[in-house]
Amino acid sequence: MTAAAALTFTCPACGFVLVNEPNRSSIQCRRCGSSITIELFPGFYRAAETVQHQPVVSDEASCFFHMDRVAAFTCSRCGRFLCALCRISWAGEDLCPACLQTANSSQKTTQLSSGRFHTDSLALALSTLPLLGGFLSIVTAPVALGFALFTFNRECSIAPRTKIRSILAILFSATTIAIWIVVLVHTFRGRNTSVPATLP
Amino acid sequence: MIPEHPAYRPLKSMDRKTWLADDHILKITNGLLREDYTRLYWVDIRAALLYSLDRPDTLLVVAEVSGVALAVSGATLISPPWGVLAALVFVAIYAAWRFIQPGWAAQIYTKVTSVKLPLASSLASSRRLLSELTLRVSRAQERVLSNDALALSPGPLVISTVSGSKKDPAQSKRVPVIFYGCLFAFGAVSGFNAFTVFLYCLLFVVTFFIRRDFEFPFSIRSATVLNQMLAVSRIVIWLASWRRPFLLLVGSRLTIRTEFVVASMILSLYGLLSVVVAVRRSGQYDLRSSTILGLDTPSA
Repeated sequence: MTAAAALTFTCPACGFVLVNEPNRSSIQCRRCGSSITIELFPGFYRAAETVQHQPVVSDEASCFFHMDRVAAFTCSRCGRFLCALCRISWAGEDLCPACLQTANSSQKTTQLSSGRFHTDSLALALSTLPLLGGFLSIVTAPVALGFALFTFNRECSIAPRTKIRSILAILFSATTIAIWIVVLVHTFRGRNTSVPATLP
Repeated sequence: MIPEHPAYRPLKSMDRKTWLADDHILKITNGLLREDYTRLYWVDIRAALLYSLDRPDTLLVVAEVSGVALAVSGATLISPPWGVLAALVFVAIYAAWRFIQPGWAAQIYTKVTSVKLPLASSLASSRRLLSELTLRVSRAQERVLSNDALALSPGPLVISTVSGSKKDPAQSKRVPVIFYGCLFAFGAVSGFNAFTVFLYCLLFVVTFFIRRDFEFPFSIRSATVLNQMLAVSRIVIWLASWRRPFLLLVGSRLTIRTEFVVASMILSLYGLLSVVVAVRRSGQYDLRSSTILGLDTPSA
């Protein structure tokens, strides 16, 4: 089997397996008839890398994690000696597994982040959805306002993202609170004026 | 050394889901309250497939154009000066949305995964975007001409048997399509009964939370966007008139204006037609097994 055969192409439109005619980069799906252009890169033909383990002899430095193997790399962050198995090549650096885990858990780097929670969308949902239920908004509006203000500066995405959701959440919840204050004041004032004062 | 917080720029100006960094593509998948990232590093990319997305046929295009024309004509006839202006704004916004929708997409393969990226509406623009990606990959992999690779190994690129995990993309969209069918059915009869209006509004809110990616049938997306635009303009005009604001919560007051009711029914009928066509198309490829050129490809 050639390296090329390690990757199967299916039609992106209907999921059917594609049959390629040699030396042609444009093919047609036999099931749905979609015209598909295939662009192949050298990585397609690259053979899988094999890791060679060399035992430690005499005064050679050994891997921090495998004492019986010779060190071939150093961790870019902590400087530990690493064998070829323990070296993780990531974002242009050679890292040891411990440093990679530390970088991931500390979340100092966005390069390892697998996802983000949208606090601004939650604030917007809290400020708008309860309006459908009416009276529920008397509770949720202050919560939404506090939450939107508290999380205003928090990054919700590693890609550029506007603050429009947080701003809308603040506006909606502040307006809802203002409306509730007006309604409550009118209600209580109306009650006080409608009840006649009893004179002694 | 690569920065820990890379600067991203969008692949396309209007697309906020695909971003380019110096050494990778970032694909953002949006959930309800969360986004997930997929990074494809230039050095890991093995192949790219350019393909056309589902486009509406003549029947649906005619239905779309006549639906929009009929929907806005009510407003222009009933309240001429402002109605015409509102209709023009409505059509302009919809046309802007319509013409930025991708007509082509690319599927990028690495050794372990593949990711689909929406490109531009025209083939020329899509090829330009893809060639930009190709150039970056080629630079990263220290080569310029991608066709050289084919000359290196002109053998067949396909394994003769497939593992059986390949799924027809149309199958996964069947449930949302049926949901949209219910939505448009309630929309089409919403002018007759307050209860159907309530169900229509309820399903309409739920549609905001259903994923409609670029591979979802275009006509259904189009009908949904038209209905959403109509609903928003309905609320905006109703709020502008500022009558009994608390009845907004009830919803039934919104159905009073005849032109909106008729427009909503017409656009829902267009949506219903789109759903019927989408269901028929998805059934077209519902095959358990096929034999092509002597290669048996079961899909259990």
